[in-house]
Amino acid sequence: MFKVFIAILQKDLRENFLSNKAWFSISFFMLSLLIFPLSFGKGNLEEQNIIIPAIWIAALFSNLIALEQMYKDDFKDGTLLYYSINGISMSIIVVAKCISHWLFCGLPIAIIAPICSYIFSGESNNFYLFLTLFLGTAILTLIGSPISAIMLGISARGPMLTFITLPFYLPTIIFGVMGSNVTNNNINAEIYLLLAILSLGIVIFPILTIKILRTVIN
Amino acid sequence: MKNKLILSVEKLQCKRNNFILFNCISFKVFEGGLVIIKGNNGTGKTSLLHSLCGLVSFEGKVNWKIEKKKIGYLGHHMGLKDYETAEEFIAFWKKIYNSKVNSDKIIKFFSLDKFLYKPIGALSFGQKKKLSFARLLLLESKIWLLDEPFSGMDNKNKKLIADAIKRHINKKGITILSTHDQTKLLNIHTKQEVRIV
Repeated sequence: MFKVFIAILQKDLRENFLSNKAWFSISFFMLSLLIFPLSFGKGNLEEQNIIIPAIWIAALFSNLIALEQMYKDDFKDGTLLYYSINGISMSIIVVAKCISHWLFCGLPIAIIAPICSYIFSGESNNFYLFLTLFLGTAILTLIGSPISAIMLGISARGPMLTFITLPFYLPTIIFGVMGSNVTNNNINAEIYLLLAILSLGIVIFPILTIKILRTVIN
Repeated sequence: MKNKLILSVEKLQCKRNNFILFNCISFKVFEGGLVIIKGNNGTGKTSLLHSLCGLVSFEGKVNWKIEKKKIGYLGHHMGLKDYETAEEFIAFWKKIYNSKVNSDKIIKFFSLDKFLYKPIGALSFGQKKKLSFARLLLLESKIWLLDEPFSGMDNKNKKLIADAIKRHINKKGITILSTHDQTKLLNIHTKQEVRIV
């Protein structure tokens, strides 16, 4: 079972690496961040403390961009059908897909964001920004997974996916932005809340995705 | 000695959007049996195969007498990735199925060695189909459900696929295939035809 999981994860990572879609998500994050200092002016950006919400907004939309592709190709070319008929556990597939999506559209953003924050605002203590994004992007991937699965049969998926997903992302964004702004505070409630959402999400969302994928394939 | 019963289908009915695709289909398949589902386009041949896999809801009875966890299926969508090479594809599915089958033999049987290192996106439809058949052999399943296995293939490759099916049947496996094509290639004494009108 573990071998199957590793094989699917490797294949997915390779697919993400070779396709433009995952790289597009990271480059979208960088480009959209660049717009904020250009439109606000660098001085205003520092004064109004806009850089952290800007990073979160950019992270959210870059996650949304890659979300559409999560199961689409495997569904279209019939790979999901073969997994299902040949008795490969759907849980392995869903977990592998979520991990590869996060590794390409979550982790790089969490790593790049503190550097961007330092460049744009001069803020050097960005540990909380990294931590909240590290947890937050994983939550965004988990929330997006069942929604991406439910959209498989729909032709105009792009706009629908955005409209359906955004309300579910709001709590994560709110706690994420609040948690990133806290500095030198030992009791950071927002991070605990993000951890709580992540713990629940790890249990609930893959199960939900499996149920949806089975229905969609059938 | 009479062969063991593998599948019994009784009064199978399938509906799509309240429209009955097919009705009252019954047949039995024994070890080493070949069932050819014939019918025109849109009569529900693929849906019949999907209902046997358990993918589509249906009315009636489908009783598999052996474990149907590992069904060898070949459909219109072949589950191939354009960026992969044929070799990577075979290696991947061998890992997934934890297959002990010698893949070199399969490569030789289907003459895949000529395009083994080419990306799948550059292969022809027939070559892709042969590759999909290679995956079927890797699964080592007793049950083969094949949806239009001969479509898009030249005579030489049609014969090759017919040979693969005959070999499978000789090993006491069962094959249920749908086609609207001629099936003269499959002269097997256990052959039975199910016609969907």
